[in-house]
Amino acid sequence: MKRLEEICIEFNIDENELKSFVREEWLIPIEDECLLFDEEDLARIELIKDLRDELDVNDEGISIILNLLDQIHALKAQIRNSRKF
Amino acid sequence: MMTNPYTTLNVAQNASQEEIKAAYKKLAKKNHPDLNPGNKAAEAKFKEIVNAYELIGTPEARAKFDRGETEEQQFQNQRSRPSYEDTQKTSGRYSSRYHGFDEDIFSSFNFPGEDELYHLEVDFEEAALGGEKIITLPNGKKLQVKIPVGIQDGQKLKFKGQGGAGIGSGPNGDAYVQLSIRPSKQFRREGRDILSEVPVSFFEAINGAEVEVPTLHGKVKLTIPAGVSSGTKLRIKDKGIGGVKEKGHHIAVIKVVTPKDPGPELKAALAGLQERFAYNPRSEQ
Repeated sequence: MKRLEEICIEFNIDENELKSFVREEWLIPIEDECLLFDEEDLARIELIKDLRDELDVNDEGISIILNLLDQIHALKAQIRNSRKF
Repeated sequence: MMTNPYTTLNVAQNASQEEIKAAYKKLAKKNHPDLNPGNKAAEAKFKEIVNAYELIGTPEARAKFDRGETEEQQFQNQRSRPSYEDTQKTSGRYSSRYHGFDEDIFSSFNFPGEDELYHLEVDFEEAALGGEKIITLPNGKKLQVKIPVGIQDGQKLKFKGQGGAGIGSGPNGDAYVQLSIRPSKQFRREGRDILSEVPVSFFEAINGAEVEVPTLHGKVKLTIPAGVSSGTKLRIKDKGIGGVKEKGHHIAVIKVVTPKDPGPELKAALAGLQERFAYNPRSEQ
């Protein structure tokens, strides 16, 4: 579990920028009040950075991609569960 | 081994820095592992692309590479953190927001279940004579496996509908049980015939004898004619692998065994015989 400030240092990003990720609902901190993030969030930040910095995807594009990815992973989880009989 | 970054990025050796960047972005977009969930090939390709771009992505790195200075350097795009996809393998907080609509989506999907393969080791005798075994599948289900007479190593038995469960109204997959046969110390197989080695003394080889030979179907008395050699094959009818029309036989392969430590007396006795009865076994070849 990491705090916002730690993450900004680790990823070399601005606090406001990270807060904007939360505002856009790309990120949902596990603890809303003090903005705490877990491993899943960290991997997601890495992905968002990849999409934006490496792949030149704009903000609207990132929202769409994350949304679709979440749905794919939800479907995959469902398939996994239905195989456990 | 390092692949040529120019080839990987599909650009000419004299491409401009902008062209390289554009080629990299295009390929990276297509192969990013998170945009290709579960696709190992894309993941490997993505690593290759990133490595290639590290080598020639900036004028400085590229100049170094072109001078051959980075030959030994293998960039490893290893991130210390698991990829986003990795975090989704159990259950993701983000994806779980969509679980509400699962039921609806899957009620319209019908997939057949997956086929499953299991391995079963059986004894040589069991495979030759046939038998029955009960195995417990990982899901707790028990499967009664009838081993057909004379089954071969690696053969698969099919159990229809015993594999993974189908989704929706899709049928279950099939279970396959692949048999591997443990070799036997005394027997080996040639088609439906069973071969075993029968050791005899040289007295028995010369005079003939009656010996007991173990077969798949119990011990059998075998008459060994006088004058057999190592390698002589004697057939015991119908004592091989059973069959309705055609039965295999048991083949006894003679092996003449001389005493381990002949001792002076035997040697002396034989020396006399050798003078009288010398023969050249090589002349028969």
